[in-house]
Amino acid sequence: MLRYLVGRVLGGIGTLLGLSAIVFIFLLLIPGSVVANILGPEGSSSPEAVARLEKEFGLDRPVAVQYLDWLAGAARGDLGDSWRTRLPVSQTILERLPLTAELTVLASLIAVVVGVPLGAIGASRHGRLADHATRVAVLIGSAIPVFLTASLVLIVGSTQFRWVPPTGFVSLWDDPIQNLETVITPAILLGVISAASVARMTRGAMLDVLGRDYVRTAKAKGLRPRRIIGRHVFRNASIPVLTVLGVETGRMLGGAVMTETIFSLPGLGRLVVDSIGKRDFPMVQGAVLVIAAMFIAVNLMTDILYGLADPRVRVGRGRSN
Amino acid sequence: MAWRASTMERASSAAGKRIKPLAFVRRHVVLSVALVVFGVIVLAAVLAPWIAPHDPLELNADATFQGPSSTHPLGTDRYGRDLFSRLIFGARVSLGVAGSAVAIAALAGGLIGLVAGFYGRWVEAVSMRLADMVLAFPALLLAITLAAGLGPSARNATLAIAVLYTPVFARIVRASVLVEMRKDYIDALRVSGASPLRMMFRHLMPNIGTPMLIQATLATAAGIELEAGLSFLGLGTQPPAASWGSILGEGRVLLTRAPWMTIGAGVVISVTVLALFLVGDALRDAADPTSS
Repeated sequence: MLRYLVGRVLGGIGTLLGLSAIVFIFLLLIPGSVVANILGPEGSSSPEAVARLEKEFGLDRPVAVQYLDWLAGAARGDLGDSWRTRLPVSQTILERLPLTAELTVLASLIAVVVGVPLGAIGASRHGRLADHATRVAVLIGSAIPVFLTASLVLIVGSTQFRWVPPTGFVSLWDDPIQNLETVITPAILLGVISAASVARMTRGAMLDVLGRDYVRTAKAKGLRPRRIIGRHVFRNASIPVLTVLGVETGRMLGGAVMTETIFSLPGLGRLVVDSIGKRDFPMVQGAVLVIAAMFIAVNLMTDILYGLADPRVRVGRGRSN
Repeated sequence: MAWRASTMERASSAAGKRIKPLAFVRRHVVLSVALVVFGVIVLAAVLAPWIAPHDPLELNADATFQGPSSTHPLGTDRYGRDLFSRLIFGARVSLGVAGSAVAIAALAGGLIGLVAGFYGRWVEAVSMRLADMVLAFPALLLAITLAAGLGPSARNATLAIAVLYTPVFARIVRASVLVEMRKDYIDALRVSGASPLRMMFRHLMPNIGTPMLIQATLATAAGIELEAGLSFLGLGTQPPAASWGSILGEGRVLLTRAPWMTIGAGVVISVTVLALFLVGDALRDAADPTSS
């Protein structure tokens, strides 16, 4: 188990390193001079001003040095300073992170709480009305993009109920009620969409397991249905469900950009979009990596949970490529 | 993902038999409806100039913010442009962007996966690690970063979506190639001295068509949603041209004044994506009856 864990963690760090290099190279390829963009047309007419700013940002050094320098800083938790606000990137990210993290965690909870029972109902009433009803609900849920449901909620809310979602974000610790009021609507919208995928996967996995020989054996032994479901079916069906949940977290992190924009919330996703527009590359680089790290961490956790749910995975035989 | 030979052969032999259309429809009601719906949408996109009741860019100061009526079946926007016509022309952009992005991704990813699966070793190691990196990134965020970085346009949105889906195809094709490589006919080809190129393109390619087709269907559905998302944020199709997503985006600020914009574009996007999902699901079931 330990070897498995170490291998997974090292793999995650490797992916993150590679990603940071890719993002760095990509930002270099973006057309248009950053310094000219920041100085504006007047400022950039003076070569001294351009040179001064390039020196300040370290753009006069070779690209490899720039990257390694950034990497060395990142290893110490220093992601550089914003080119716009001149504040440390890590500080801004830490301000924005709680909202996105909370949104994603809440949405995942909703996805599980709604999705798993729906899928289980579908599987246990296989082929009957309840099964068909959940299948249709799931299909519709997975086909509707989150920016549409979010817009619709805003239309209905404002025209029918004179309800406008709160836009200011306060920390959960300062004012839990107002915090939840702000976050709950986008979290439900994100969660319900992922619940569709979770339900679909739960249903499929449970049907698969229910048809296995060991379940038949368990029934033949005279085990109580509750024990069969709890001990045999859920445990074995949990692996594909965990996988899909890991994948869905990525979709939620992406979807958070949408919901943060629509509900005007100051989260990490919007920080990336805004910073690209402003050509604030250290900010983009930092925020993008933090989001990727979150995604990788979630997938790492699902990998570890796999190992717990299925001993075969630990020895590395269970994972087919 | 194992595409077992028996099921694939069964699928292809079923396709080879003559199927009576009526029997097919009765047997696959949902699939038939989905195919018809998607067909109608594609047809509308192709025939847009002939079937759209108005010019999608025609401004009409006397008819702004009109609700649905007989002249404007789905109402008008803030410039008095006919929404129905804009949706029909928008289909060209939305389907065009998603379709060409998936085509690029299938081609590039397919080649990478083919070569990686066939040669193995470092080619495989490098390309699959790269694929993992791209996949280790939340899709929509990557698309936004790429599209915003390259500059907002329909072309760059296409590129961004293509980059996103290339590793998906590469992985699927590689996995299928690995399965095929263990089969006897590959050994037979090797013994008979067939060149690697001939083996890859003449023999392996046709055998990995099914998983690619399924993936392409689902990827197109996701591509339509991604394009809509990008255009919704103003990072895709640029005005005055319209895609479904940009109509949604324009509608967002006018939610209370012209809700029909959001509803019209939203319904079209959802119905198209749903139809493609259903087709993809049906294809998957046909190829591998155990997967459902």
